[in-house]
Amino acid sequence: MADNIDENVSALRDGELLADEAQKTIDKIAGEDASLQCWRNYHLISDALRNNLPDNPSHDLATRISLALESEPSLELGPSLRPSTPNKVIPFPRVLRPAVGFAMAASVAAVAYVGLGLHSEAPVQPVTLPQVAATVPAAPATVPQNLSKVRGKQWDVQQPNVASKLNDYLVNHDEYSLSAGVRPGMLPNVRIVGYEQSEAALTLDAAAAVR
Amino acid sequence: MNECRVTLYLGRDAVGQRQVTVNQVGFRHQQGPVSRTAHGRAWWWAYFSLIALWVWGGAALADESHQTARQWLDKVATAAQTFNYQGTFIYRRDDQLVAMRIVHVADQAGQRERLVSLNGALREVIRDSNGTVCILPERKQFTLSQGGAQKHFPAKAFEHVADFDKYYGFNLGGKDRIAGRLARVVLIEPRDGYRYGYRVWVDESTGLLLQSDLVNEKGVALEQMMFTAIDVHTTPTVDMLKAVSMEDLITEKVLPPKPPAVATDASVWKLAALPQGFMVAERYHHPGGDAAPALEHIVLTDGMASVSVFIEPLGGKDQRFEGSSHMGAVNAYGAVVADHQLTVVGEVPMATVQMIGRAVAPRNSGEQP
Repeated sequence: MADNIDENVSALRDGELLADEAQKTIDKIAGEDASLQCWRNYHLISDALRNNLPDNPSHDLATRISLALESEPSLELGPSLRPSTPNKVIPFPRVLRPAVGFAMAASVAAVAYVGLGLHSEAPVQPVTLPQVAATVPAAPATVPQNLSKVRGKQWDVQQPNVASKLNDYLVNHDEYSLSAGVRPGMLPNVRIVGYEQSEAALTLDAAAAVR
Repeated sequence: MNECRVTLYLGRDAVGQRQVTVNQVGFRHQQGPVSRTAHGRAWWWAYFSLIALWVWGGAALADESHQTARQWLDKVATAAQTFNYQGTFIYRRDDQLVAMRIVHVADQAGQRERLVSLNGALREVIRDSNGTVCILPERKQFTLSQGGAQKHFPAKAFEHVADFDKYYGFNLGGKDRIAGRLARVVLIEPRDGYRYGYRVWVDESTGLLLQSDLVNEKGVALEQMMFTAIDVHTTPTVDMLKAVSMEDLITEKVLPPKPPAVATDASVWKLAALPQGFMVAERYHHPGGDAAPALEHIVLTDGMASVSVFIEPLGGKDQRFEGSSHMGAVNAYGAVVADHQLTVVGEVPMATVQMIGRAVAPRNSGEQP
């Protein structure tokens, strides 16, 4: 029977349970510590499999969130959050939502794990109890560092003079090699018009930054 | 009775919780010994004929595919020179996108074309049979280069087929739809590591180029161009004629033409041990100006791709470029040879620019060039 509930929890995690089975499993999770732990473990495993874990996941985060939530006023769930389509496979996020109602603490912890793991490159900072609820939504705001690089991709050389010279050569190459080689598929001068685009884009960026 | 049992493990075995088992029951044929031999012989002949047909037909089809692929490419070369068209296309290099607009006119007065970038700074290239004007704002200059129609609208066709076949394989791909038009896909596959491959989408009705990918040895497109809209006109519209006119530009801006490069046969530099199939197509001498020193320019080609070698005297303050660099499909290799900066640039693999770069030496190596 224990195997069975484990299997159901796993299926619930993957959104593979029908509505009534899902409901039963959720009740089970809410009422039984072992099942709750199992539910958490699945999320942890899932995150680990998807490389979504923070560098040092704090295993008692769920407990601390539970404690914090006990002192919070309880939330009313809107009808849209309840499963309304029986006999239909429920996708994962919709399964997770009802779980919030019954096992709020555990699910928030799970969501927090996912959220923290998604983008954060720095280790998750341990936080003191009263700050937990406020800190969790802000955590994924870590900005990817190399956004500007993507746009300004240019010659991979260090010296700017060399890059500029390479651009000159490229214009000459495109212009003078027109009659040499068929170059299938490339319209003439496309590279010339396209080449220094990135430099121009960076100049515009710089101008915007100054303003 | 055979039973085929397929078991799928769903990566959960670490905790031993789940496994999905799929049972597939099949192959339940009851075969008597008599029917087996009779069947066997019939099947053997069927297989044999099929394979023979496949080998023979395959070879014929491959040859036809090759011929047709080349015919489509010839069509591209001709269409580019004969049709009036205007359109918008996207050009991608590495992870960067640029949208451009092109207006091409081909009438009694010859071919004219205007190419305009639609992103960022307004960059344009206009060319007619008299020359090419580049308006590149970040360089704060207009440049006008002059030369014959042969240079600015070179006639291109796949004439030297035998040469191509040594280094590239031609195949016809499937059908596709680009910019709302039906297209044929042509695949040009390199036969060695010294060149890139090409995937080309050709408009079925006109032969105009609709999309192209420059592909590396892993099949990854390094550079792509794709029309999103294209209009073909039997006669150019007034707007099109206006767009490709250079008259305003030249009279209003008083363009000083940049000194034209001179084709030359005399060179103090020689190239030894080039990658297979590459040969010198042209040599130019760019006269120096206030900003730039005189420059020797050698253009090489394998008939499909082209590579440029630039050689200029190295001044004391000049930053040297030694090593390799790349941007999109274009690779560059730099070296200092006999007090000269040597730079090789081309849309070929790194190994090719490196080999060409290492092949350059003063003609008389005992003498300073």
